[in-house]
Amino acid sequence: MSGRRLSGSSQDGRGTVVAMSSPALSRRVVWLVPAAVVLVVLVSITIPRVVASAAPSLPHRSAAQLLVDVAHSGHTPLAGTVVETARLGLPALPEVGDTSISPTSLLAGSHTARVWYDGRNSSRIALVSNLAETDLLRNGRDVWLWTSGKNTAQHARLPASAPQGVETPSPTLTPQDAARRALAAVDPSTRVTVDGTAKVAGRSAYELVLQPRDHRSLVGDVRIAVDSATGVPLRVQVHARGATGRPAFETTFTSVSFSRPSADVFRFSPPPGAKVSTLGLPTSSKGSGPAVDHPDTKPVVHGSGWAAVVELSGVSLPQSGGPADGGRESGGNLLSSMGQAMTPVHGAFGTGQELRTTLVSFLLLDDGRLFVGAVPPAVLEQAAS
Amino acid sequence: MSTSDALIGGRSAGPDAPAVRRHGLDLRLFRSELRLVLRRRRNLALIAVLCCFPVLIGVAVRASAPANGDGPPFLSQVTSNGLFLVFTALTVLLPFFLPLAVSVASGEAVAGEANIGTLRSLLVVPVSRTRLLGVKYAGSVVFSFVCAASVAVVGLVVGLLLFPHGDVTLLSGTTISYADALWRALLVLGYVTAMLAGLCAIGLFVSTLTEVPIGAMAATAVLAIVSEIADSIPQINAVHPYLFSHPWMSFGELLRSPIGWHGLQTGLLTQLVYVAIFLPAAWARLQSKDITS
Repeated sequence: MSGRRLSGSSQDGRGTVVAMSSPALSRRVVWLVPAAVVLVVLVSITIPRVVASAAPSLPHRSAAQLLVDVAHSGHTPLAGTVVETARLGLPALPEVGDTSISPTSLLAGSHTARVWYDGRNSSRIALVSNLAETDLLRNGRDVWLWTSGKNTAQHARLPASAPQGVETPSPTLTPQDAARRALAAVDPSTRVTVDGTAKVAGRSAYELVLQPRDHRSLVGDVRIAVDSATGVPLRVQVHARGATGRPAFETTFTSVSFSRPSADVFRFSPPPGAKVSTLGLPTSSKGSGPAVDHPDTKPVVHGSGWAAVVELSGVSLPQSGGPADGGRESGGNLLSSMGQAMTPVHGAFGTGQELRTTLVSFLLLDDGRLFVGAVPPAVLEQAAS
Repeated sequence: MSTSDALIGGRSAGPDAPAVRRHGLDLRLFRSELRLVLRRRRNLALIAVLCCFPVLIGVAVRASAPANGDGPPFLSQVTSNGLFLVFTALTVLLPFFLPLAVSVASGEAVAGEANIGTLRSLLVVPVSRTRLLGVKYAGSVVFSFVCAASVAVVGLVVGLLLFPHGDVTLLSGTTISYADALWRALLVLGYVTAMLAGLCAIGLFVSTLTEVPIGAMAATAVLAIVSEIADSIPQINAVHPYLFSHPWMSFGELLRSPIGWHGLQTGLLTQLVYVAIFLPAAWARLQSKDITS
């Protein structure tokens, strides 16, 4: 009793709440404050999302016009952040202490890259994870691949006659790359339409939709959000056939600006103490490669269009359960867990193992031939026999 | 010893001029709270333990240099530049020991006073519950800063003593001068403190729920660990951006060139939201609580 009076009197002295007359009411009333804050937070998280997902109204543009826009956007300078997410149904692994990023690790989970392009012949892609970074820089004729976790810098010098749009090995797929590849597939095999508009990274964009006509393809459609002002692809989403909801593969700008980045961004000289080596073009060097042995021969393509099947020979998977070498690198880890996810098969083509993901199927035969395609495994088996 | 002892001892003027004395009282209350937090033996022991880590890492690396890419991030760079000892130590301590220390301080804040029966007398001083909470929160945040700063300073000194100091290589492979890198280290320290400020708010709220300080400390530490475990499970990556521990390690954005402000903003915003929710919740709980001891 005395305690109540003491605390009550102290409140009176300061002129603050807790009226002694109706403590039960005021006790509930004070909880309105945090409740209101929670409400405000929820609203301020939700509203930008709703506003951002609302389709902007833009003048009509045909699919062909958009294709040209995209083709002409190749020299737009830009700086931005790209998030790539793969939901291929491959086993995802916890990223604990992951300091080095390998290209294979892009097949599962979500990754962030910062990209810069000066519109001419300098570009930089920085694949970032919490305390690590892998940079691919091109500054004129110099190409550098910097891996912070390993403290290595690999250098290559492009031939003087190199065309502007030379393909450098990229550790991730930017929306531009992905769009270019999808557009290369545009031929009679594909239905191209414009499906409304979208907001991506705060910019209004047209949604260009590519649908394979071949029903054997695992790809349902490829949606490309094309920036309405510059024609730069801002987002590429690949949906699996028959699947609804989230795309199986997605790469999107989360923020982008089309002003020319400062030249400092593209400058690189190997820091003291770093291991410097020569980078073989166009394939990345063996040191940084994943655990798959490099195929001896050139790939053979069976069929065409969306149902094309690529055949590689001389491929072997790392022995599963070998944490000594492949275990630490998440890429190697992914490959060995892929090996475990494969199911044994046999037929006219011989014996082997196959793996079906939402977008791509793999068939690895015991004789070292690997068949890969965006088709169901049955089509791969057909190609193999 | 509690905050109230110092205050009651120093209470000379009558309660007839509250408006004039309000400001002075707040400062005095804050000072006595700081003295309480920074002089408590348990907290000093925590800081001492935290400071052992940079020494331990420094001596270990000096004794046997790690290969490139071995161990925690930055470890292999320590041999070429002592400043990386600061970043290595923070990286090693941020997932567990720093949050633990912060949980101890913030969990103690209100429950500790309630437990030894000084909360009531503190409110008689008279100090409003709102002010008391504000001072307690400020005290916990300052303690977080002191913890992180002690680690950084010890790491800096040990690094200077045992390893070369010169230009510093950033995550992006760019090299900056030692002075520039010191600025970045200071920013890292500020960011880490801001990250722990979110946990302080949670700890303070938990602390108002109970009169058993050890329970509040344990619960806060457990919440931090739960958040981190959830953050490492890829199957629930949809909730990752909302976890308060998710942006902790983003201090690495400060070690890139150019600095990744976007990631830092996200991290600060996350903590701001947690503070904005849990401080009012702690306030509501304290206002509606029967202070009987």
